[in-house]
Amino acid sequence: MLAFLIRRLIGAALVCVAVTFVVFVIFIVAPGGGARGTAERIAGKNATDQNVTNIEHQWGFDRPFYVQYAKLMQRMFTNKLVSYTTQEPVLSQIWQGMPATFSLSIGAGIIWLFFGILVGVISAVGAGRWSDRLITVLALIGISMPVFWLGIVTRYYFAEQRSVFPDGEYVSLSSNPLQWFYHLILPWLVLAVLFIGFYGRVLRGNILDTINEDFVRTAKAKGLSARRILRRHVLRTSLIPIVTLFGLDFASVLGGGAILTESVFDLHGVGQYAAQNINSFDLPPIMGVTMYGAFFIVMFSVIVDLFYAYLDPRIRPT
Amino acid sequence: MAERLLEVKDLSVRFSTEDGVVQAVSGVSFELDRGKVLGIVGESGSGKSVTAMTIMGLTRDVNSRFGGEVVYQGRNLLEISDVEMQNYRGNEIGMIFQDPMTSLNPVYRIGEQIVEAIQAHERTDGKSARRRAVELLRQVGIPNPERRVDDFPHQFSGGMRQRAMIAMALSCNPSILIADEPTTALDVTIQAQIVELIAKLKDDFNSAVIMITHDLGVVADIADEIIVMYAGRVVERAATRDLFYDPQMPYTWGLLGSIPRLDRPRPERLHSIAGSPPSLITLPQGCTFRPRCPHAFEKCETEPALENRVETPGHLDRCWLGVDYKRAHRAESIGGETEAA
Repeated sequence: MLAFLIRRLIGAALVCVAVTFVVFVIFIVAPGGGARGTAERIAGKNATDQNVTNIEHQWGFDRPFYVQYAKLMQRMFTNKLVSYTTQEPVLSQIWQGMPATFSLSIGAGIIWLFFGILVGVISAVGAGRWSDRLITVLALIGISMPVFWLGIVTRYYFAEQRSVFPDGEYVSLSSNPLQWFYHLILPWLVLAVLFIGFYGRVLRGNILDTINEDFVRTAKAKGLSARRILRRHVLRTSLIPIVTLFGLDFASVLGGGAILTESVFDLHGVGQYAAQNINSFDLPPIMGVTMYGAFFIVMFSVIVDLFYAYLDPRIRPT
Repeated sequence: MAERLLEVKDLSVRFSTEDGVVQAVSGVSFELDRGKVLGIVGESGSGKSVTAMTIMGLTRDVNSRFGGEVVYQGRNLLEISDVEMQNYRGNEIGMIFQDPMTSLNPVYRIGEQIVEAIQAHERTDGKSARRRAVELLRQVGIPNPERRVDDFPHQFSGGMRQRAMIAMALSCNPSILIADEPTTALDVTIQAQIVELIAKLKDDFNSAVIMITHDLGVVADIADEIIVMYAGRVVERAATRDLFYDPQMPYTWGLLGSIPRLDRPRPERLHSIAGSPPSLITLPQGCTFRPRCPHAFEKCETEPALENRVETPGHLDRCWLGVDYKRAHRAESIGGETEAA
């Protein structure tokens, strides 16, 4: 097991390195434009000629590509990757956005996983009945509603018109836990709705497939109760694909992927930071957020692998 | 007089499907006494598995309709609730299935799955249930059961998995063991071992066995009585010896002819029954085997009853042909000298 973990971690580290290289190629090499053009892109819209010349030299755009890559990595890890529009170091900005993003992701993740499983189980158990049909319709509505639209509508009705919930912004957990919770309820629900519908549908299908498996018939033949068969034999197997989905979805939200939700509710998280810089064509922050997001996806795919081995002994290394 | 365990009376099973009503089993009757082995033989779709699963209550569904009775120790199992049925499944009647590769849950250890069966019916602590699981695995011939009890199904070979399934089915000491094609998915060398094991355990556990198969050879040695099913009906029923030496139904001849045998001159080709079984939604009129039967004549347009037509009492068949005609002509289908007896 330890060997498996080490192997998997080495693999993950290699993938992370590959991602940084891909980011380097996409943002610096591929667009072309020579040393000067590249420096102009990095410098941003309002840069002076002198700024561009400095960047061209400092980032090594007049040198071979491996020097450029090494210099980029050096900046990355020493917090010298700076937005030339705002003069803010990218890493510090991401660091500041993380509490909001983590709060949003973890809360929403718990909600969507819990209700996704609940919805999937209820509709699968009553497959074909009215409850199943109703849930199917609701799930499709949930999947189809764009997050930004749902966010704006809920914000308008519950925050601006009725003041049931506060109108956006993030309050840190350490300063006021109650307000933290209060401010996050709407964003959590809005972000979770899409995933609940989707997970519910996927799980429903998995359960209905698993119910026809031979080992479920064996469980019945043993004289187990319907509830125990569902919990121990059907659900256990049906949840395996959900674990993969959740690992990747959760990682992407954690990595700043909830751009729309964060922006609509003005949470000042990593996603919103990315959105602002995409708007202003500020490349260094976008590079930073891309690598940050990739890091979480890689990390969670390792976690998913480990959890998989726990759930399914057939892929457990011996 | 042996103890009567199970009495199936005029059992019929119908399933409503999108294509129409499937008449899976019609008017099947048999009895099973303690210590006996009953073989049920037929092709795929002959209703043999549905009959077995219905006894276990595994065919219950909103789209299923049942007729007749399945009487186990005085109670009609078709009438009791599903929750009550749980007390019979595994506890009074154990069942093993065709494919041991898929019949065990891949994510639980063999021991856990046996313990689960024990604890479904008995209040025992985990430790003694586990001891029983080890003991059961030893009885079914798993080497090193103390260690193998913690293996996962994928660490067992096919034959071992079927042994583990048998251990699980016997864990609560059921009176009846139903084996639904227990050897079909196994290597030929393992098949005989499993059949012998079932026969031996039947004596050890003092139970009765219903052995379902499409291969008459499998039940030849261990069955006391054999039922041949075709299109949901019993078409012949006889003591094993009578069925092999004096088969009355042309369908049975076909089945006998399709077994390769070493004790007879080798035919050019193995005999096969022409055509395929009828659709259970629109059955042929009259005898259901008529469209495939080389001996069919006018009278076959009305279905013959399951009756005793030979000298041996208890040997029943559904065929209009005269006994002498059959004895004269069956050798063509079986492909050897059947008059050996």
